[in-house]
Amino acid sequence: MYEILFFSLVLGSCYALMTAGFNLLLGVARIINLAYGAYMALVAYLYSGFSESMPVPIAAMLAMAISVALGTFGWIILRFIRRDEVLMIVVSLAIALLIEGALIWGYGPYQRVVPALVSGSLGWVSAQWLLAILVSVAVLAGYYIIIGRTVIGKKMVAIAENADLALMMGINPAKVYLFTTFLASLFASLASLMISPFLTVSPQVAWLYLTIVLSVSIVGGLGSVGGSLIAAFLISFAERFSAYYLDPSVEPFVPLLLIILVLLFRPQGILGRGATRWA
Amino acid sequence: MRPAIVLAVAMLALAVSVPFVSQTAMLIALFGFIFSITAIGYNIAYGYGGMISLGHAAFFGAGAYTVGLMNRHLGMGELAVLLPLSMAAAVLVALPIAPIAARLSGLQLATALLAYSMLYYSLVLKLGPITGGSDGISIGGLAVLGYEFPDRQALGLFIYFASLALTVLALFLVKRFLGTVGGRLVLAARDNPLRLEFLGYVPARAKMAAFLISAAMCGLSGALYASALQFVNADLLYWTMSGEILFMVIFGGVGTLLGPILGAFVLSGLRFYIATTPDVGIYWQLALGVIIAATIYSAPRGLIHSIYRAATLIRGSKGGGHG
Amino acid sequence: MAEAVIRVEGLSKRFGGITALNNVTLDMRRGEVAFIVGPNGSGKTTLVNVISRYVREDAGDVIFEGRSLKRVNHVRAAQMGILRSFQHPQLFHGLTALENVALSLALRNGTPRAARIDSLRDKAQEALETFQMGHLADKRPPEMSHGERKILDIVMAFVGRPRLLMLDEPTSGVSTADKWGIMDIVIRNAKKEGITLLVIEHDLDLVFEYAENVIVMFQGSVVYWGPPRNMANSERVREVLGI
Ligand SMILES: Nc1ncnc2c1ncn2[C@@H]1O[C@H](COP(=O)(O)OP(=O)(O)OP(=O)(O)O)[C@@H](O)[C@H]1O
Ligand SMILES: [Mg+2]
Repeated sequence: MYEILFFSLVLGSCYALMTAGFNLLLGVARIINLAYGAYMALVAYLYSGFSESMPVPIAAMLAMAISVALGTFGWIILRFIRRDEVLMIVVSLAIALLIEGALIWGYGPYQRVVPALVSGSLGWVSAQWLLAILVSVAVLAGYYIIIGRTVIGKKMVAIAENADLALMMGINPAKVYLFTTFLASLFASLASLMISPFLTVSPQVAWLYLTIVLSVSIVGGLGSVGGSLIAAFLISFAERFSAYYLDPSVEPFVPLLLIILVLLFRPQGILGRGATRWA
Repeated sequence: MRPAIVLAVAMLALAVSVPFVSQTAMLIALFGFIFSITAIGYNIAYGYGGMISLGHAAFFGAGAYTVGLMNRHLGMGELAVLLPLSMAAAVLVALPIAPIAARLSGLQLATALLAYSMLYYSLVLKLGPITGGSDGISIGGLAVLGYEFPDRQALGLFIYFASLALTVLALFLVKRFLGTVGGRLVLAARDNPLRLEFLGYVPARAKMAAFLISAAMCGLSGALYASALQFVNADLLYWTMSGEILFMVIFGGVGTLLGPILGAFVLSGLRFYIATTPDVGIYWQLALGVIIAATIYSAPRGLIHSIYRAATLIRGSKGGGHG
Repeated sequence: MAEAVIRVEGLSKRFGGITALNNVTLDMRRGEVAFIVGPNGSGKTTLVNVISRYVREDAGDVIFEGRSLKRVNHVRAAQMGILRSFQHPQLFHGLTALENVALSLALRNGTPRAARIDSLRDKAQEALETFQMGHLADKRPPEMSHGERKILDIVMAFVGRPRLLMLDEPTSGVSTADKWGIMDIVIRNAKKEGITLLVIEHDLDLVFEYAENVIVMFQGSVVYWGPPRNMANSERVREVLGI
């Protein structure tokens, strides 16, 4: 019971972290990135690959460095087509396929074990669980500090709220977008390092990550980081507890049920913005 | 119009003669026609109705599994029953999500449908004893109007001509439908749903109709696919299947009459190449990703538009591009 | 006095801190042609939005042909015959001008969905001709000028046999020369068919020529409501309109 409660917290904080990155891209840079899950899978593979030939912490840092650099400059591509939502969906999907294909090419289509970053445990609480919670909380807290206290953070908020107005006020968007893609890549990479050790990872793990991210952000409100925090825990708790009290096989349907309920009764999500004005 | 008719007759004659010319060509064209029905169906939802879906695999799979499940559990092999039934099954699967699909757009829509279709994927894997799980279901004893096919050859030939006929029929019906008030309502609902509301019409109704028609066509083609392969498995429900369907339409030309067919043939040709060439299967996704990216970059409105443009240049006069 | 086609009573609407409508009370008898004038942001479009039920009032009521519209949404209102055009024309850009009009005809006449859109060709063409748009029948909105799009938007509302027709700045973005032509056609046809017509218009010359009643709005309030000839007597009106 306590174990489930705690593990829900662990997963919830990972969900929150990964979705925060996705929603940052969406909310600030207006980038729809369906390759987000594939990107997280890439991080897991890099890390697991490096860890075969070097100590775990170094492997993790190397994987982070490479993937954050790739993401920061890579996702900017999607900015160029942001005028067309559908095109962005399609192109990012193509990128997802490319990444998935590259993983199969580089590592083979097999399942892999991703080593935990830290070993050992405190009673029934494994150290990786604690680390996952700590990192997620620390990063998200850091995020809110950046948003609230720093100039670049305030610019991000301004652009998210009204891009045209922000431009008129003389904010240079290029830097802000780059910072946004950097943060998003950082969140995605860290989240992947935290959550992947709990799973058996194959190239298809990309869609699992993507489904989680999409469910959480739809339930929480597309583009809303705050909403995704609430939704992340809602979904992780609902998943774990339904698996425990009902049947493990219902678990995958829980996020879906939540999505459908939300879309029926509150299409903009828990904290999403309403429709724009018209006529 | 005359050159178009000549061209159409020539294409049709070519299509009819393919099975008697080359076995390989027939296999490619077989799946080309099956996926043409899928793509024409998808195009109704996306191209005409403006609903971008990443979940049409669910409807394709519903059709395929109708054949698989009826065959496995009831020994049913009569295609004259199975094909209509598969359309009904696809509509049934689409029904709960259709009202939602008709009201959303963009990312929300794509995501909702993606999640919805993955539900069926998980369901098929979870219900192994019934659905065969990840092993899938082998299909045998297929027949049409009581005539049981003696071998794969005969079955393949029948499915080929059935798919060809159904593709032509689908084209004809879609063209007719677009000319009706209902068809124009679908386009209008895509262009400006709010304006329709201010004319006293609920646009979600037209969109829902388009969505269900689209699902039915995908179900039908799924059933043809399962019958041709005499096999179904959960891969048909995986989101990459939805992605492939979307890509066929984008590759060929969104919202055009013939684009989806073109896209379906190109993709089934590629699939055939991958399936028959050793050691390239695992690069399928890589190849697909590159092709999509290249298409969007070089021919963003689809191949069919490039062809129309070329034809126009050659004739130096007018050439239609609108469906 | 004959029963009012449309009556609004004490309508108020706020958007955040902005008062878009402030206790507006008006009515129109059948066949009346009334104009709304007022500076930018004075609540003219909001009034039309509330009457067409796109925007919900905070207080007050809209009564159409004796029925309160409190529980009626904009789709139902359109079905009841409250039709409108838009400040920014709202068209179906994938359809030709003729098809735009034909669709509106089909929807308001209850044409079966399976009927061919071509079966409405003649009627739609006729409507376009009436507004001197016949030559644009096969053009799609993206190929038309702004003024042409505005007229098409009006034609679509016009052919729907409106019981109340509201036009939001039908002549904005149209050259001064064309304005009179358009307004003349609109008023003539509205009169011919006995349509009750409410027009938002900035050009006071047009208003003085065609209005039976004028509603002058300022910051959400009605500062004048009555025949145009008495309008200029009011100091408040001269101040608001700068005349
Ligand atoms: N949906 C809305 N949300 C927030 N504010 C609104 C909304 N609609 C109108 N407003 C505000 O209400 C006020 C009145 O707007 P309205 O559009 O009715 O003015 P108008 O008289 O039509 O002006 P114009 O001549 O510029 O068209 C304006 O200040 C406007 O910004
Ligand atoms: Mg206005």
